[in-house]
Amino acid sequence: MKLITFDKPDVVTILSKLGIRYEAREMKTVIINENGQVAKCEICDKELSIDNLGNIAKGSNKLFCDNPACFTAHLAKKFS
Amino acid sequence: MATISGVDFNTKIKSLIGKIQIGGKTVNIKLNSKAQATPFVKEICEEQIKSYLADKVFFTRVDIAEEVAKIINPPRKYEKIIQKLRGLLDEKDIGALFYAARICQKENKSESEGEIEIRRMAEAYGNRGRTIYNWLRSEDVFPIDILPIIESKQNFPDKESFNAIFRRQWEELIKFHPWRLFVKRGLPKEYQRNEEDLREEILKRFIFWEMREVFIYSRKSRNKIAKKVARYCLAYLGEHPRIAKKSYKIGNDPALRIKIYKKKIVKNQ
Repeated sequence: MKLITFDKPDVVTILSKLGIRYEAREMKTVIINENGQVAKCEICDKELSIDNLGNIAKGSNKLFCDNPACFTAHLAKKFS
Repeated sequence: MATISGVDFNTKIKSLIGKIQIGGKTVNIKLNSKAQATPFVKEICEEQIKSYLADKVFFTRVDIAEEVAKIINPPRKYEKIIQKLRGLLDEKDIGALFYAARICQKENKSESEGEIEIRRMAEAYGNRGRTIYNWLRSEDVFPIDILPIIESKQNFPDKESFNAIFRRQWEELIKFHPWRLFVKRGLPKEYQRNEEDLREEILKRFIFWEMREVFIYSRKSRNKIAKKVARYCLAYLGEHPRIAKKSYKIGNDPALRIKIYKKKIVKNQ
């Protein structure tokens, strides 16, 4: 397993390159999922914006917030 | 040349990656032009993209990357429990178990409470996560109540029927554990148990459900409440119930396990 790290200012670039949409809504830039709705963290259901996006598991199209506890679930199930 | 969805691999990876984490070390890569991409970097990129396509690369924000990288190895002490439950629990529960194990390990090592981690876990997994953490922290629930269910696997005709029964039992215990009570703290009010709630819960178990033993687990400032409630219940229930106390430490915190039990009455013939 490899982690590719990114800085907060790079989020927009990464999302564009991965083909994930985002748009400005109510004072923040939210991430839009394939159904056109605001994407939510897979675990805690928090709405995702470019400010709180923490992890992207691209292969399975899953997005997680910046709480490391949330991403644990995905890592634990998949890899260890 | 390798491509992703028809896009030239080199072009895509060049604009995509600024930093790569290799063996816990972050390597800065400047890929603005071909000239700057050294053969070593190219090699890594090829490898990256192969695993990327096989779903083995994750994009992680740099400020949480270290934390995420640590998560992947479960603490050895809890490895057996995690191994046995991995195939049986859903993603959220196994995640909570993993993270709880990390908190326990941190608490055991640093002698300080993993307050930040506990808050993070509560945010991610809610009361369910907290329950799993309490189970692991008690050191009783998994070896006594959960693992024996898994060991009975051989008595089931097939894997599916065992899995279904295990999940049902797990779910029931997560929602309501009849013989183990945790004096919770640091939670929103609706999840906390105050003195009165705790008394009611215990008495209900002994009087209406005729249970023979109940365990109360507490820690730090909650030990006082646990002791008070146990004394009250003992007085209320009369002559037969007994109390067995076990004091231990979680990091630097004094913790308490109180067993309230009914002594068996031997009738004279």
